[in-house]
Amino acid sequence: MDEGCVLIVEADILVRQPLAEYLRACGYKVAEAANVAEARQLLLERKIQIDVVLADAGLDPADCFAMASWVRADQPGVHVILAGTIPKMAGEAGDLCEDTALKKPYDHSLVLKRIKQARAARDRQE
Amino acid sequence: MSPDRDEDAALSDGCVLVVEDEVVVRALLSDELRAANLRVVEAANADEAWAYLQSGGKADLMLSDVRMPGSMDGIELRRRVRAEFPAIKIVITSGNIGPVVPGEVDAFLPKPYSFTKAIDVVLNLIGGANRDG
Repeated sequence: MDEGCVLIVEADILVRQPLAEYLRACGYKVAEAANVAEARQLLLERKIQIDVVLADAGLDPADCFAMASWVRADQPGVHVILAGTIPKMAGEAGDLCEDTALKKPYDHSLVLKRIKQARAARDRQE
Repeated sequence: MSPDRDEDAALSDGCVLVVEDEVVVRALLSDELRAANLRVVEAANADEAWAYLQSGGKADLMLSDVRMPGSMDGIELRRRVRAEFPAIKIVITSGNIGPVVPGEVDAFLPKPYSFTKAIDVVLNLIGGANRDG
């Protein structure tokens, strides 16, 4: 069962850990980052093949959008899903990633649906 | 659709709380531990680990670095875990301090360490008992 690898970028372990376990139970490999700096390091070092980045943009929107922009330029095969985006930033985020509508608290089944959609979109491009 | 925490625990050989601020080390070590059929919870620092345990999160063993950002280091975390969760085995890892006082921890893992060595230490402390049980 190999559904690909999802990198969760979430500062709260009590949010990140249950979501990570849910996605692992659904067959995904999951990498966890507690902030954008950790996420960038994981993406830069490429020791783990990441297919989808799910990031909480609410805590540090500027850093998160910068990461999304960098991922789009440097690793175009990686999809970015932003969550917790506040409305006034939705337009900016929409230019950087595929989805800006994922709200917190996370509905795990909705997160799974969005990840599947992102993976399907990439498969169509290939 | 997803197994709950108790079912996850039943399917694994035990739960390891990895407390490490170097994200690549944490991620790769956690992957190796999962490959050894252990459930792994990843904490980026001592504060996260403490928040997880205080919330009722389970762990059979905590493998913690010493020097980490946040309000406490791995030594203070060890003290708190020993006091409030005495059943949790504790492995301290560090490249900066020598072996800690016997009895304060269940094992000391000097950095740099191989993942094979880390897994051996973990399984020796919790693996056998959980598999046999």
